[in-house]
Amino acid sequence: MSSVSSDVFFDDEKLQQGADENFVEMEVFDILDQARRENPALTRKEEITIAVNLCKEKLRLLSDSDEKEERTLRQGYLDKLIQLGLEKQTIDDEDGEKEEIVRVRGHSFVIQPIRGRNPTCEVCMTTIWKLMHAWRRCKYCGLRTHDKCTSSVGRMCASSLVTRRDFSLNMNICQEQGLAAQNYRCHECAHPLSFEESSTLEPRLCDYSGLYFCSSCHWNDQMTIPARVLHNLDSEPRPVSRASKQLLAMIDNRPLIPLAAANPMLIKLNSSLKRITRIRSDFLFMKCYFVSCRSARQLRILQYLCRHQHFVESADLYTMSEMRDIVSGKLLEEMEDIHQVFVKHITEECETCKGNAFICELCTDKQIIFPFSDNVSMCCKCLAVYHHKCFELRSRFCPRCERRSKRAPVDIDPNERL
Amino acid sequence: MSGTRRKALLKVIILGDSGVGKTSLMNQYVNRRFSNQYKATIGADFLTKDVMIDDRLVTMQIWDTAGQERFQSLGVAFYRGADCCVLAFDVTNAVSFKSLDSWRDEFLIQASPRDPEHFPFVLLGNKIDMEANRAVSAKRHVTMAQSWCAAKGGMPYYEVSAKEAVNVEAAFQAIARDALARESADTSDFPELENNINLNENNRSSSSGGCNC
Repeated sequence: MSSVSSDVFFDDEKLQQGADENFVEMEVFDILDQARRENPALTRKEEITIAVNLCKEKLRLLSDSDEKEERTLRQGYLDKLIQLGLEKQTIDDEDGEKEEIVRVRGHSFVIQPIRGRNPTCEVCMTTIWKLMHAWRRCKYCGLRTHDKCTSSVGRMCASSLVTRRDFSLNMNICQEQGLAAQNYRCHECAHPLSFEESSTLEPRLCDYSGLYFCSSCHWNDQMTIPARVLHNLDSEPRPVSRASKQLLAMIDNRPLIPLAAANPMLIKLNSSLKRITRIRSDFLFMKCYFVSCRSARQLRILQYLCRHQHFVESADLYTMSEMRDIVSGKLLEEMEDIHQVFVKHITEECETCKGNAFICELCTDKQIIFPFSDNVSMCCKCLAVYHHKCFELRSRFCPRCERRSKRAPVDIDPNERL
Repeated sequence: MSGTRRKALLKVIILGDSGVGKTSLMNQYVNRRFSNQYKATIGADFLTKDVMIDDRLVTMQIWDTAGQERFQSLGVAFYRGADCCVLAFDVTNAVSFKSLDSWRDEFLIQASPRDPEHFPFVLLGNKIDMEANRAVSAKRHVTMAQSWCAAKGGMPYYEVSAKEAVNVEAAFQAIARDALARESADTSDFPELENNINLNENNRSSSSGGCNC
């Protein structure tokens, strides 16, 4: 029950946000209109300065309270400020050299060549005939429009959404509210929608957001849904709205899926995920060896993980493309190969890494062990490694920690000289 | 006879507090280079150098270690099989001298040599080029170091400067000689067995007949 009500709440917030965006736009428009009347020879650069000052002033006046309305209004002003800043930069760029970027609502539209298929303009929904029409594409989200249509783009660029500080992926599997919750209108453009048979206003459900869209804002693009892959390991692509598609395409290679935190049971039950989790924690230990090993640095051995940079930083975040590869089994294969290369370097090939191995201090066994070996335990304080059995038998007593703590109280004045 | 069986690799380990100049000593000896820049060593690493000791070519494998505790999270398996341990301190820093005991103990625990009482240690007092910085006279600290060495079973003591390459070469030569002497003593303790037992030859005897499950 609680999850449903929270979703309604989320919905309200979205609508509210849309209204606030328009409110900010109107305010800016009003003040510029007035300024233009006073001084007809106003350049666009001067207009931007006026608008920036307005937004800054409004932001200063807004209290720091965490109320929903204030928050969304603040976000509206912030977004506008960023847009204006980018636009100003474009003008500055153009003053210097002619760089053709049009910046609208966070998009950066770049003029496109005339080769290839004729795409559809996402603003006027007609074909872009490349030979006749100049057209542009946003270099961040890939939105395509006619050159003449760029000024009327209504959708915020997905890049400005994902760079917001409070951005998070929707991790609830499609929770539909029904058309009534949207006033029988498209969530994005407010075009009327109806399920009546005679109607041509077919509502299309976006599986990512759980909202209905009109056919202009929802082209039945198929994407893997983060929530479904996280909770069900279901990587089947499902129809999503244009906005969701652009967002999901953008975050495809960003480590945003907290698999272990969001779904700990899955790792316990799924053997290949269990193995991947183990390999990832091994990678973090191996990294300690590689950063202190000259030959590993020369070999650039960590470059094996260049497609998965975040694997050497933490052990629990995954990207969407990795989640798909987990389901298909490709990721495990790739990880096993890299794991093998790493293990071989540390335990066989490299004299330095082998020198940095551990020997269990709690028994007489002379075999070297590593933090990533099987059946070992690690002291969580000093990271010393022991055989699991030896460590448990001594109730997890760590002799290295004890020696260090005895050494620690240096009661000598460091400035004292011999 | 025993000469041919000696291994030509000597493993030397340098220990001491952070900033006493372990890396500099090694670099001065192996590469004849010195830098005033301080860079903390992470983990442990070694350099090798070929030296002639009494007409015999030996390879010295010198392990430089991290002095800072926070860079000592990895294991010290390289202590095992060491032929000599060099303890280094900074003659202008009293704390680094007082930690020598704990470095020595740590080494003996982790390396667990066969004969800890007679394991060859060598003490190096580094940075004698900065003697002007010393509050107390050089004489007093030499006697201090020497009495400490005597208490530890007559450990040799050298005053060196990695910066000015004073005494570094001589100290390491002596280290190599000490390690080598220790090694020849070792080999005589453990004469090689004449009848080696080959495990692989005997284990096929029971393979005739019987079930293989």
